[in-house]
Amino acid sequence: MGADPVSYPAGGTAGDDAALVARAQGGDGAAFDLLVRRHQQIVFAVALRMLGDRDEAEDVAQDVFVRAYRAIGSFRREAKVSTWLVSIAMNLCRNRRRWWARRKRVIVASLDEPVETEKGAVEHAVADPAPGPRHQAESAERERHIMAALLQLSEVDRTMIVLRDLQGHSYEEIAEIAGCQLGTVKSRLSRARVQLRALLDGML
Amino acid sequence: MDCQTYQRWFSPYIDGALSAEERSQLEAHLATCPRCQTELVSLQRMLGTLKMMEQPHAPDLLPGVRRKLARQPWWRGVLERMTGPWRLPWHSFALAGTAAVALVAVGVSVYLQRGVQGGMKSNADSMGQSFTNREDWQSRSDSHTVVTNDAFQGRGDESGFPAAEEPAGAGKSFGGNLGHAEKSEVRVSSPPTEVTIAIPQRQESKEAELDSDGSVLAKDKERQVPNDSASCKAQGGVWGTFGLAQVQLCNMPTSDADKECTDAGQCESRACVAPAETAPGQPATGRCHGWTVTVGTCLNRVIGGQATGTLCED
Repeated sequence: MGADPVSYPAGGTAGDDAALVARAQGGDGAAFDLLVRRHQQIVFAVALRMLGDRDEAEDVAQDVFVRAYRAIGSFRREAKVSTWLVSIAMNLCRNRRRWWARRKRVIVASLDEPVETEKGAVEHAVADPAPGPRHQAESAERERHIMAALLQLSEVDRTMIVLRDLQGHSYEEIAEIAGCQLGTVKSRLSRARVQLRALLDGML
Repeated sequence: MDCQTYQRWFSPYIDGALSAEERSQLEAHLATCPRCQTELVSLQRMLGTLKMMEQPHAPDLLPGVRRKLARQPWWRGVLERMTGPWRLPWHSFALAGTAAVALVAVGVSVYLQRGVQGGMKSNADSMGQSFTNREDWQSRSDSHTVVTNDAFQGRGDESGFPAAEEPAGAGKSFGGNLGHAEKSEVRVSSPPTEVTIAIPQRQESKEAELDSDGSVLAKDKERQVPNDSASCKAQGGVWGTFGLAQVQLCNMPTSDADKECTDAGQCESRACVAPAETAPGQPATGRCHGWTVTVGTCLNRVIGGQATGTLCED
């Protein structure tokens, strides 16, 4: 299997992952560490894009790896680690949203307001525009709009957009992650994109 | 078939998921329907923007993951001892020092959680954000939080903490153990209702720092360029033959066309174009080229704020 720029930013391959999993299953702690480091960016990105809140996303992303660690004994090495982790992430995000819903609170992403972290640093839910040409501020603004619209989508719609248009998964991978048929992915994705466009048009 | 039906095909068309027949049917319709053309382009633009969105900067999750794995209820440690030869021995982890620190942290956090037992349920909302592992939290009873050092395989003695702790319900008080916690040197800077501890939890890994340095340039994100004429067209590009080598490429409109720039690195096309008449070496501000392919073009490029003079690329 060749390098996949979305799933393997370190330039590794699925074969490397399989080897790491094998080592981790055999008790190699450093191998598990490596798996975390390799995939944390993707897992965090999925969580952030589904939940819209950085702190929640970090918390859930950690939980993903905790669950993966506990279940690693049963992971089939022929499967793709990244897809496996993303499906765990999707599950946990859904649970987290329901957790908040039960407490009658919605995770509100104030994307325009800076979020103060423990160290007093200021972070935004969306990538901060680097100081520079005005255009970069404009594109960050555009990204904020998109994120805000994304969070208004239904869970199903948002899942489709995040997995396909933000994370770059194939239809087959999405079917595997979301646990549905290929045809379902096709139609859900189509509807989700129409919805998103309607939201974006309405926001301008 | 009417426009509305055709427009439902746009999404799979862009992803190359239509059959060859459906695709040619749609393209035939598009050739005669300006309204559908506009709709398609609008959708392609939106998807193009989504595709190019920056990946969020992820914090280093590993310390938090380890911390959560260490804070297991007592029965989990027993369970794992009984099953799975795959349990990872913690002393084999690279950062052994962190494990010792985590132990102390864990002891302190137990102390704090015990301290706010009474107000736990009512404070749930405000503390909600502080629960670092809701899964585990819900899986054990609210009345006690227990830490074992089963996961640490006997290192408890070294750090001054007891080897194992039983649930409060069993009658053993935490008092003696807490003595250790109080004397520990870990300073808790947050108020007792918070479980967070003043241990650096968000240490950026070296890799992350390099990444953020690398992103000084315009989005280096790999844009998956269509490699056949059908998908090229479906995504809004133009398939053509370029340069002396007569290479076949998909020429895509760039997302930052006409953006002001002072260096090639700022543009998706890697071409920041100045007016042709700007002399080489002159300070210049240009605008990003509107297409991804520059082979076969003659451009006056701006690099490092200076014009290079019109050069042709073969």
